[in-house]
Amino acid sequence: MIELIAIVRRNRAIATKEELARIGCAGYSQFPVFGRGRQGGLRDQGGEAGLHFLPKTLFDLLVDDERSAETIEAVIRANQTGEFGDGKIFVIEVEESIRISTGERERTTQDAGVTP
Amino acid sequence: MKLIKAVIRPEKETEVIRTLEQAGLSALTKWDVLGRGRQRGIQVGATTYGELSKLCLMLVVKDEEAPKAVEAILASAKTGHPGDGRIFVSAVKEAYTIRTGKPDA
Repeated sequence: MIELIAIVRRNRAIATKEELARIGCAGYSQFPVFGRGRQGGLRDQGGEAGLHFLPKTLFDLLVDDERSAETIEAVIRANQTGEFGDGKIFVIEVEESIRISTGERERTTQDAGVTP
Repeated sequence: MKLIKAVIRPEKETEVIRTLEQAGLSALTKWDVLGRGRQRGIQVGATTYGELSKLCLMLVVKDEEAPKAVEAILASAKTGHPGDGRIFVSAVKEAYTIRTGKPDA
């Protein structure tokens, strides 16, 4: 299992959801965060003024190993504008996932949370 | 690359961010959380607070920068009392910049 942490622009969140639904990845968690990248937010010519942290949405997706490439592509497709601030996707390996409703341990599962 | 997730006291936010900045690590994501640790919250008189307000900081750094980041957070978030928070470090396989659509080196 692969965990994808995607930090994207808030105004692209709906587009991201739609794109994920289109490829059949319906399960994720999503919440508002504040963040900045290497540029250190929007600064006034190296000064203290400006926006130090920008509002973003964090998507936490858990997908099957073989679906991770497809999901990364979908998130990129929905969010790429070519400007700074488009966001990041981090890929993390998950050792084990357990479905609470059944107690079933899924080392290799179908996409977590896909609605058939 | 390493993902560093730190749960810290919200009042230490500015200090921790400034210390990380001075260490050359300005990229981070933060959000508010509620949580508790081994002490299961705090008891003030007759009132028990099961969960306390904390700030979650998440940063992804190069492997060799991870100790520097952890030290910066430790130095600035520490008061020496229970409730200072925790730092978790985990491995990141890949990181993509959405602007370019390419994985980072």
